[in-house]
Amino acid sequence: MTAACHGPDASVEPTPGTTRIALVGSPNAGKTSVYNQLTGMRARTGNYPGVTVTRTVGTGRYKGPDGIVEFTIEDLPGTYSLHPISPDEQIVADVLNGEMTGITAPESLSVVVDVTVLERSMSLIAQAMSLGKPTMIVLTMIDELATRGGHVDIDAFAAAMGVPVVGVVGSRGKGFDALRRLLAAPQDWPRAPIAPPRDDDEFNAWITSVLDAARYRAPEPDARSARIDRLLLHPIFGTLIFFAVMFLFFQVIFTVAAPLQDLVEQGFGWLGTQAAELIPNSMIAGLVANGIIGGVGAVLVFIPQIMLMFLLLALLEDVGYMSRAAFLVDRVMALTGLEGRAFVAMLSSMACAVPGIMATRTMPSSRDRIATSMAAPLMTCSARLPVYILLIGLLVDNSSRVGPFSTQGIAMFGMYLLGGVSAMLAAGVFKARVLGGELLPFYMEMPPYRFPSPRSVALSLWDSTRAFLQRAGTIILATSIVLWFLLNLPTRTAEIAGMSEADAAAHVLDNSIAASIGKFLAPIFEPLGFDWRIVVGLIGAMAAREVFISTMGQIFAAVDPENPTLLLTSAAWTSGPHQGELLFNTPTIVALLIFFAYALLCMSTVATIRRETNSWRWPAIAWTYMIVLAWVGAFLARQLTLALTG
Amino acid sequence: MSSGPATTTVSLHPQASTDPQMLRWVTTATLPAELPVLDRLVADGVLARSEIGAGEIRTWLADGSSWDTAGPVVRTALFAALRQLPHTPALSGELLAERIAELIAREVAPVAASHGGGITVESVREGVLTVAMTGACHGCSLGHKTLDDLVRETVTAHFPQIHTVRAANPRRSRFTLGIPGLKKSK
Amino acid sequence: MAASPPAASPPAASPPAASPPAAPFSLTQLKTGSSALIVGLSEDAPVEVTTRLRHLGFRAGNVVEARRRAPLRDPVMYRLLGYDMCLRANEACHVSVVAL
Repeated sequence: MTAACHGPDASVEPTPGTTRIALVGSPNAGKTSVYNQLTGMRARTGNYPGVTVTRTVGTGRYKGPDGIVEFTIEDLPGTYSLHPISPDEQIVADVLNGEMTGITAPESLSVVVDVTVLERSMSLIAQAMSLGKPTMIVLTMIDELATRGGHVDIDAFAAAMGVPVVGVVGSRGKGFDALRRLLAAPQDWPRAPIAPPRDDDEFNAWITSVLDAARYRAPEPDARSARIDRLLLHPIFGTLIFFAVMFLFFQVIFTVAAPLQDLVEQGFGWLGTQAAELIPNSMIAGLVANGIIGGVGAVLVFIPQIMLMFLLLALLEDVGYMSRAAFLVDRVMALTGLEGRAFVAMLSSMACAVPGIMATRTMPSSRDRIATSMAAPLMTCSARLPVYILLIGLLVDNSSRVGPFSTQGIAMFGMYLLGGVSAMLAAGVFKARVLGGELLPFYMEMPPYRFPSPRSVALSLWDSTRAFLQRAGTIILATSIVLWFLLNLPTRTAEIAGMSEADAAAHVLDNSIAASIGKFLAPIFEPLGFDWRIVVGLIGAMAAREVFISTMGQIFAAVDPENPTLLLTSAAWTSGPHQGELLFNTPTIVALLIFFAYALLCMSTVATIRRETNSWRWPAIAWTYMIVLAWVGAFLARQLTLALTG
Repeated sequence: MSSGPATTTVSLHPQASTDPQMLRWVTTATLPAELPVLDRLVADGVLARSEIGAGEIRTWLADGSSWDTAGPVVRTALFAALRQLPHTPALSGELLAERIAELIAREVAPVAASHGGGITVESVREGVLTVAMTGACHGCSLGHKTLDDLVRETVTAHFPQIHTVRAANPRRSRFTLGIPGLKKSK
Repeated sequence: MAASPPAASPPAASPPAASPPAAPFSLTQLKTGSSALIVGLSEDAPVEVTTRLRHLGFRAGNVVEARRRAPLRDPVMYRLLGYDMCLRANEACHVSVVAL
């Protein structure tokens, strides 16, 4: 389902006829828990019109004496203040003031506040109350308040504030009956007699008085968190642990996901074979087996990686470690204008840019998210690895050594380094130039360590997976089918009747639509040393980079298309000015390596950028700048190599 | 550092009452017998009248006005006035006893009453408050505090000149406060 | 045992005229592990930055403690109003404090 870029997301419209309450609160206040408890599986996620900010709307239910009353809850993005200083926060302000096109302002507000930091939160509560709408307050973490020696008299607090106040424990669902009853009838909420004061001194006096009336005693600083931080934020040990955690994180999405992904691939491969056998018409069989089933498999193959990554991200985030990690690495990320939390997205992109780009959701600034998404595909991803292995294998001998190190290893490391450095540079350029250079103030709260709620983790997992399937999945599937058509039509059944399997495959490919495209585009790639067959390989790589290898194998009629090395070393130009020359000579291989390092061939990544930025503009920009970078880079690399090798 | 209300920070917040024309301005400051600012507000036609009580100032809105407009004006005026108050304004013995009685009647007596008990002021003399407690209570919901503590805290918070709170009857009823099973904190 | 005081930070020196007024310095100069009283925000700072800092609790009259520094010296984790907030020197430099 692809929603229009510029209209409101139809799926997240509030249920008509119900009253609309907006949830306002700072990040880490437990707002998401509250939202999940109220709406559960009845939550819907989309985007605010025209922007990259997620819109979350759900339906809550109250079972009252007169039957079930439904109400709509809109979970506004977490914010410390309703006075916006960034485009994202402007969204919140616009929605609350009814200034967002196509979206009416919510009728009432529920301010969700972590009661252990009540004093700091009074500022946000005051701002919400000043909007003049019926307002109520939800105090979360009341269990933690008591455990840490704090205290609050909720009824006295409500009397002092003049609005309804409810205490809840989000992770355990305590106190939600009272909350639901209130949310069912916002028109009955008592209103404060006067708006809170604006002058700083009067404001302080107001806070002091209200908290005193509520007999509020702030909790003791969390001793357990302080103890853990002494280790995890230790300049040396903390950094080491950070690297260990990041390494583990990376390993999980790289290594642990792999067997699961293999299972998916095998499963769909089997399914495809069954389909092919059952369908009499060979062309339709091919379409169904390879195009459609293969295409669906191409989408679902990402699911283990995405789920694992989101599981880990949710755990790390809910436990509270993410802000510690961002704290440790912020200085490095600040070099490119990004912040600490961008690190995880970049790291994930080394496994695959698809989960990496989705991981940018942890960053509050939409500009940071876009800059990171534009740069993430440059990180050396796992799909490039087989291509690099193949090409480096053609370039450098297995036994060659530089000192104690294998030349192949050094070349591989160099490619990883190239990817990393390029990604950081690209992020910096996007952040500074393309997205507008004004620096937003950086600030990040360090919440106490808390036990993650399994329910919240599960719901966020479900939410992100579903988002991927709905948006990116459709594009990936469509691309697979289109590519199948390009590479396999026309079928030429008659001509291949007597050929061996390898030769038949080669013949079909040689005369396919893709081949025509390849021959048509060949002049563009000739300066890079690529002939039309390599271009066809690049077209195949648009499904997934590693498909380059099997496409090359197919074109060169390799008996085992997964291992075309031998054939490639002896392949030669079949026509044109280089006819007869070796195709995969050193300058060409180097050019090809650089091309793969930079080109955004992978349509899945394009689809994910589309999904996360909610427009076609950014995927188009990404694809364009990367293909230009790839061409220019490959060209320069080739020239350099020619100059060096004579 | 935590010496109760003897701080230089002012505290002030409005609370609605059953009468929509009346707003209670709650503060921890010990209020004197009179505040000239209130007279000024009445003279300016912002307020109809005012009353100073224990830890609160009651204000009635003038006719034809609304709290939306009058509220901020009153608040700013009261805040300025409270800032300049001495820590413990001199209060006559009679007024002091009156205020303490009001405070106890408002904040402590309802709690005691909900459990079949009662509390009244016997006397206030040279910093010593004597109260009389009646009735019995079991299992009330005050948490870890006893009624004695509630009286002591409430009164000394508003009237630092009181340093001792005594019960008139020799036998004080001590409630088992808190949920059975929780360790008694004290 | 007085009534639970609100979590508002205690004011500077309660006894009047006890010590000479301290000179304000920038929050970035606060040594790790020590606390200071916020007296104001720089007027040269962009308005959005100071507004946001104020809404986060960096207001005159509140006490702030520099808890930890990141390995590369920036950002710094501050504690105020009962919670921990990290700021870069770029933002923290706008906060004026005096010694407690």
